Amino acid sequence: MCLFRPMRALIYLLVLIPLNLSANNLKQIVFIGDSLTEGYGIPQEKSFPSIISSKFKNKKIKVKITNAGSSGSTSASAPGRVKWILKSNPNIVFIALGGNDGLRGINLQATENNLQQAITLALNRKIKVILAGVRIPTNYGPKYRKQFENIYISLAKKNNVTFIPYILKGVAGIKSLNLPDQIHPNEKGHQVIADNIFPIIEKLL
Amino acid sequence: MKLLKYFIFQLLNNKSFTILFILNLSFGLSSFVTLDIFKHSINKSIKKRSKVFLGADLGVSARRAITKEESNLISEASTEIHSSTKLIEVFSMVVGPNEQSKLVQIKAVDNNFPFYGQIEIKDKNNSISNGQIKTLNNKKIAWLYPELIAQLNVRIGENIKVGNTSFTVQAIITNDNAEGVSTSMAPRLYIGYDHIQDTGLLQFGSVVWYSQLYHLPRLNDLELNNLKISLKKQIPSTDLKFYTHESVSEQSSRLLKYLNDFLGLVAIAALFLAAIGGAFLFRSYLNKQIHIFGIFLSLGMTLKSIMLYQAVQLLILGLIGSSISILFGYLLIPILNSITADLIPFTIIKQLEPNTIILILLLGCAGALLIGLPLITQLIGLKPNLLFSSKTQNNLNRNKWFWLSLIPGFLFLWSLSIWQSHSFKTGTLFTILFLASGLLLSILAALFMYFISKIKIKKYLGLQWAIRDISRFKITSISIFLSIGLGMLLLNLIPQIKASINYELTMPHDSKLPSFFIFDIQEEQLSTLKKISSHFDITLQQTSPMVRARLKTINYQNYSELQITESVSTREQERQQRSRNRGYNLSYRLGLGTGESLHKGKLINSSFDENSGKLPEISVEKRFAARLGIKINDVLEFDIQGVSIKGKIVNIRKVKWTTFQPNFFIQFQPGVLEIAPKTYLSSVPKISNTMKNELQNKIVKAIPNASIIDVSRLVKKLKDIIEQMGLALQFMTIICLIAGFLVLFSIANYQARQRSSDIAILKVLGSSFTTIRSYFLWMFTLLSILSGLFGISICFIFSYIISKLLFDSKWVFDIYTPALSLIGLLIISILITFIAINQFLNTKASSLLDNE
Repeated sequence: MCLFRPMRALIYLLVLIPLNLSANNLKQIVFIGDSLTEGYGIPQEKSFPSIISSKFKNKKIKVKITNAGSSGSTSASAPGRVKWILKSNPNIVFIALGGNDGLRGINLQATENNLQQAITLALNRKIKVILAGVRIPTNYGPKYRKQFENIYISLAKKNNVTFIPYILKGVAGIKSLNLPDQIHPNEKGHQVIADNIFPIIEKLL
Repeated sequence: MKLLKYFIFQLLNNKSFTILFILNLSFGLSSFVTLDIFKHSINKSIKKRSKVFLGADLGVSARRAITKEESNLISEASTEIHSSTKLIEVFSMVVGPNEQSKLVQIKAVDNNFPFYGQIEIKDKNNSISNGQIKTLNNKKIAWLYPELIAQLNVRIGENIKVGNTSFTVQAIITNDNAEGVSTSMAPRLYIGYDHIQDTGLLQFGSVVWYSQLYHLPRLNDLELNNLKISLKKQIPSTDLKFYTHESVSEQSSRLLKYLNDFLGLVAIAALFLAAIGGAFLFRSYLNKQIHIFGIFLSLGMTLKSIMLYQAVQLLILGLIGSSISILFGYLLIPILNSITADLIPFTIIKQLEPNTIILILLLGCAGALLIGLPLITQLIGLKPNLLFSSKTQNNLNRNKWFWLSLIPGFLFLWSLSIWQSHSFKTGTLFTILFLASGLLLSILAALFMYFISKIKIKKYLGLQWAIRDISRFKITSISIFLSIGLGMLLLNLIPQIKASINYELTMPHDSKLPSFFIFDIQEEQLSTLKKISSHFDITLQQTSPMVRARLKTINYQNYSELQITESVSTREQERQQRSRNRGYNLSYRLGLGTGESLHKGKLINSSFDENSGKLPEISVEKRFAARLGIKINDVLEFDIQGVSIKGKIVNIRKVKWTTFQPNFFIQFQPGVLEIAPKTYLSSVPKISNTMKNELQNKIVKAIPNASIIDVSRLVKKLKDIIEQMGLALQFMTIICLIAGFLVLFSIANYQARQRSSDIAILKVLGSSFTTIRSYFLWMFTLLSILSGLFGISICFIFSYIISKLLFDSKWVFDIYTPALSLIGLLIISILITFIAINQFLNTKASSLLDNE
């Protein structure tokens, strides 16, 4: 009984997954991230993956954007989530995870290993990877901050993937671009992120 | 002067009425006073507690430094501000002497912190004392939460590194009163406010909470709240958050609301009981006085004067009754303090609140007058010829004035109920239910008398007479029926509702309460976690899968479009709308989890069958459903990382939060979400502190991503509050029960005395003592037990409605109190009737008739 339950669920879900995307020449980009990607505190259509989708639409480029952001998620979920989205054969996987690891003070080696596993899974399937670097607030101490930042630099170099050193460049610490919690970007902040990363994605596509 | 003499003469001439009326009123009001003393004491105690949680009366916080201009504006907003204190909260990785680092919540406090409560610390000599904040600001020292000692591998006297600066660990915090009722993702560390700048943690890009707390001891909660609102208006900066001590501890306020609503009901019940007793006694008195009024009328006194005299007499009685209650209250406070010192976990107030004294005087005077008014109006139309009517005949007439004069009394009780329960809904519902119960009891009494008149008993003379007289003296029988029925209803109502509230507040056994929650466990890590916990001989509780999803449509309508149609008028509504854009955590399982109960619909008891042609089933939590406006049979569509899943709501479930177990707003039918990306969360049952540290370290080492939140302190704090409230509920209920029995006692006693003329007649006619005794015993027992049974039955309906509508709690059937009260009523009825009858049986018939 226990064995059949997941099988049935798998069949059910596979029916729903648009497997024929590549056949229609429709490119697909999946954004895997945390609350930042999900668009915490703002309408979903104002989150940076949605803005990027609109930008492609304006340029009459057919691209399907999937926002797989999940609030509170850590890098530990990255391999499992990449496995899940691989079923839809995306062209690009955008990984912006690890922020919550840093905020929770999780062992840095574990974060690096998790992200590495996720990147390997995608690359093995010939899927392009964009790795977005995340930084943690200065109050976490200079040593820890530096070590955390280095994870992304080292992973990008090691795997030779497209690298965005800091996803919140021009947004972090600017009051007018963030929600009152001063951690999550507001609608304007998401627009800045989208403007920053769109050329990189477009080039890679 | 003549008038006063008349009143004194009247009162002395009707000693039994005077004494019983005053006693009845005093008992009712005294129970009201007692309840008020408790209510104020508990309120004060809980408010003090919530002040301790914050450490102040009012606070303002921001994710940026509070400017000098803003500080000045706040200080100028009220002349009542005694002093203020600054604090800074920040998360950081703190490094131990062996380079072991741990995420810590740093709280930098200045010398004034806290205004309420204290931080209890243990130094290297293991001596426990209240920490002096000054020492934190004098030197670079730190006080740590106990778990940090193991996590940072540090000892008292050694150094830890906070940011760029070294701090010496001076003490371990053993009790942090200002901890607040909230969970934090990291243990806390205290340092001096003067040293936080040196750490280098406060710079561009830091996420820091800056707070200023204010001491305003003279302002009450309403004034504090008004100040908060006016400050919000004066300083409209959206990133400043103002709060009072009450808004800090939401859980505490929620519990306080429960208790306050309940105490309000207890007070109303005690008051209604006194009103019934008073009305009943005054009615009997007027009936007895009617012949004297006839004489007054014959002598030329106007009916208006007679009625006015009665009203003044009631006012005097009310004043005496309420004064006795106030005196009783003053006597009671020291007695209660000494009796309850070890029994209840709060201090009794030192003196009666001024509004309590005003309330009691108002209740005593206006209440007595309003209760008596409908009875006085029955004197309208009284003629001197009533002197020739029978004394036993009821000469009070219910004219239109009677019905009109009920209105002020009703409005008085209604407004009082609203005032006491602090809620229009509660007060109105209680009044309506009470009046409806009276009506229902009257109908039941009439039906009972109709059926009893058909019964023919020949064998037992006493029983035969009792049945005959119950149906013959309808008004008297209905009065007894109503007063005892309503008395029993009120007497049972409070314990009945208490049982429902207790059910809501009951917590599982200590062993089932969690020590900590573990989040973000990956599927492949579950077996590792189980292995670790079994190594410690611990069974993980309610391990649940959690799938993050985004709600796309409700009933095939785009969710974002649904939101646009709603108007947003406040910032709170806007925040609520924003929260709707956030994703939701879904889970799946069959049936119900710990602390859950089915509210509506059917349980999910089988896995999803994709061949059924149906949608997967969904269970939704009640409050969540109300917030989203969703109901059974609604179809919800979720987006799980690019994949759409639809489901149909088949049930609405209630979650009992006092179980402290992880619960989900949305539960799917198994067989749908199993392969979706998910994490698990679990809770660890109560374990020893040593084991907790070891287990935590093992888990963190093996599953570094797992987030562990220690909830034991929070659970303990809430448990203490809940237990304190449980005790208070118990105490109040007992007081109400005693008051109820006293009212029943006075009613039964007066009734028995009223029948002295009947005893005389029966004696003259040669009836045996046994027959007379059995006649009275049968009559009162039958009336008491039946009215009691009806009262209790209505009480069940009453309490069901109150539990459901006011407390939103499960109705719990409490059989012990009804059974106990019925036995009590039976004993009281028999005892009083027996004593009164014996007294009259031993008196000469001529004396009894003379008295009449």
